[in-house]
Amino acid sequence: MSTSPFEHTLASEGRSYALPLTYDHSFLTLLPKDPHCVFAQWDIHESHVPSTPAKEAGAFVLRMYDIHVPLNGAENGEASAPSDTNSAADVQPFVDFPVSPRHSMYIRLTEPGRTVAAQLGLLDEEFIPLLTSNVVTTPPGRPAHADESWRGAAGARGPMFQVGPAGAHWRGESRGRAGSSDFAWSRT
Amino acid sequence: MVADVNATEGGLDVTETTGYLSIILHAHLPFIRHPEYDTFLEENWLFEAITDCYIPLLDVFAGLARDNVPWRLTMSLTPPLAAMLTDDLLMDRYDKHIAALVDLAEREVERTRSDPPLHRLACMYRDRFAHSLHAFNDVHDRNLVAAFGRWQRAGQLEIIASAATHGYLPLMEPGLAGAATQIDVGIEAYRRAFGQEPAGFWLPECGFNPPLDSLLADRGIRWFTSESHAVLHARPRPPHGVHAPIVCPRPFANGAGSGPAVFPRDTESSKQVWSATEGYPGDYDYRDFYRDIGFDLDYDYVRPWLKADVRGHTGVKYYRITGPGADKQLYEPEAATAKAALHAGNFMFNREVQARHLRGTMDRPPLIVAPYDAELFGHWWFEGPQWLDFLIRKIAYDQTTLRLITPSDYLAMHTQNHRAQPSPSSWGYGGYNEVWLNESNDWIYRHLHAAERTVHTLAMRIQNPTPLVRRALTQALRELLLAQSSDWAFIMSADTHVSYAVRRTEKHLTHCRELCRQVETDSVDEAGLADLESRHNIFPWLDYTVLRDVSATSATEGRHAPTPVSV
Repeated sequence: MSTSPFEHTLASEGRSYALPLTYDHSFLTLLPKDPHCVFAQWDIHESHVPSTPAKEAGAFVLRMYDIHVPLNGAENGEASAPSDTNSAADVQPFVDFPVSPRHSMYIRLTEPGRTVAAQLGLLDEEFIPLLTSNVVTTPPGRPAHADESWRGAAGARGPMFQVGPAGAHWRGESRGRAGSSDFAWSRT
Repeated sequence: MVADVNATEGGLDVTETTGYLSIILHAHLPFIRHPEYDTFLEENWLFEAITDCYIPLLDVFAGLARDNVPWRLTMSLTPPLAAMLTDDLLMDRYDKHIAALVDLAEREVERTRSDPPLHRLACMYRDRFAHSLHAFNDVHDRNLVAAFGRWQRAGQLEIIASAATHGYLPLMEPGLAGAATQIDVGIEAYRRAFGQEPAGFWLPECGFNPPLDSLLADRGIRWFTSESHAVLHARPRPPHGVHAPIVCPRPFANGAGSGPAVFPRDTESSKQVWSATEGYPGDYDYRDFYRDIGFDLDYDYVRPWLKADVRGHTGVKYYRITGPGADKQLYEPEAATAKAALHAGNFMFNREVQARHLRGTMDRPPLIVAPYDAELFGHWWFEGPQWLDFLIRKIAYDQTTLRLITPSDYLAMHTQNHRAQPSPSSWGYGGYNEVWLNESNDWIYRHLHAAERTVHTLAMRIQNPTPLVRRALTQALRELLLAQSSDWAFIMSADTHVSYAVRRTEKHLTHCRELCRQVETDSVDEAGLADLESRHNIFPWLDYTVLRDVSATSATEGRHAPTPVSV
């Protein structure tokens, strides 16, 4: 299509349509990008963060859960997000990423077809969850095996999160440990 | 209802057919309308598509009818495109645009008199543009949507619905009604354009993610298109690859059977047409898109036909592709037409071989689904409509292996289909969401989702609105829908008209937020609202309460009782 001399019209309009840096609403959302990657975006309003030493230290973490066991009695292999308690950590493997209160990042998964969820919280001596995300299942990325049902195969698997610049892999351990600072993420 | 197809008409006898071919033309352009300017360059996208693609396709259909050639095609004509094609301002502008091109072509006829080969091409464009002007005004009464609709009522064309503003549904705010609203408004737009219920649905960019199948099932949609691996990677594994549809497990709301059927793209037939290196459109005899007199001729000569005084495409192009380099030879229409005929024969031959090979391994005739952007035919590939015309005629008279059908025809003939859950997928680069979710455009989603939440919350909360508040909320929804067009994220990713796409996103979201703020503070600015309503006037019948209808419809309730597609 023809190229656009759009810049001159922008200058002539004379008003700004800049979007706000933040909204009043705190949120944590996961969006699937492809079989091996999930995009997380979040913003937590300061009023929603309890006054703790961890808050003063800015010790926010994004805790990514690998959901391969249905939570809360969910049927049909459907997963539900971890509840806002630490009991989720006792059930689901997770990995922590140090983050800032308003940000986004791409998280690579070591395997396709995984179900994940996240919590944003403060990490001091214990994890204080503040926000819980939706649940996302990434595409399988391959044809089904002959005996694989559409509800997906159950069972524990190995470590699943892998973050870092291309060629530099860090694998989070399944019982959760804050990751290295060698992250690949995108800033908004 | 979609026209019933008698299984014995047009040779659609299941027992004799070796294979089915379903060509789907997806016609879409983003809603671009700028009454605040006398002319606006990006409006040319619509005008070029009308001249190069939509009128030529209608000409092909008319020629087939005149010659009693049987044919069956599927087409999606998205709501934003249909809205523009029925907008008085834009159609007035097209009339002026094409009349000006006739004038340009007449000048070219004069300018090239001493150069016979060039002169012949100038005459070709004069005749072509004059025909477009005549067809637009006198044959189609300035209403191309109605023109396509007539072919549906005649039984040759199946037109399907699509999302309201072609929003990329898998990336809508999770847990809210964004995708459902896009689908509901899109189906209503279809009803108003074509006077019937749609059987099929074009998911924008073939972007699929659960629970879109449930949303479509709840709304009575019987089938939708998908990328190949939606079915290839379905669970359990379908037995026929992409050559038979699957049926989603989610039942229709009235318990009438399994959910919508999914028709996946056949990659072999796609590659022959789409591939930049191997596809037909790159043939050296075909017209070169980039050598346009808007760039080649003296600036002062072409300036009256350039928007915003910047060199650009006029539509008058004299050269053929010739080869990979910059050296281009004059276009030779007869050679190009002969090549289009050859390529049509080649395509048909390959589909015959494909069908015969597959038939031996299947319990039914294989179905080859070949979806394409409609604008490929005539705009990017000048000879595309000729190719399609040749193909349809050759299929009708030069062979007996293949039959042209639509997906609805298939479901009428084959009521038992394998049930499987399709995989998330799209037909974008990479096969998933990366075109619409990457570092060039991921910033938009927090803003789109925030706007969705705000509009949705207000719609639920405001009871008994005054007429002014109702208008404001409805315009807020309109602005949100326009911001959700997948085209903006696509353009940012393609790095072409990025500033325009960013500006459209920002403007619509800002207007949406401002209108919501005015509603919340009981301070609706009626003059400002009226200005937005007149400029961003898509779906004049829209009412914000569609959001409430979506929220009120549970997963187990439906509003339609479709004919079962699977037992």
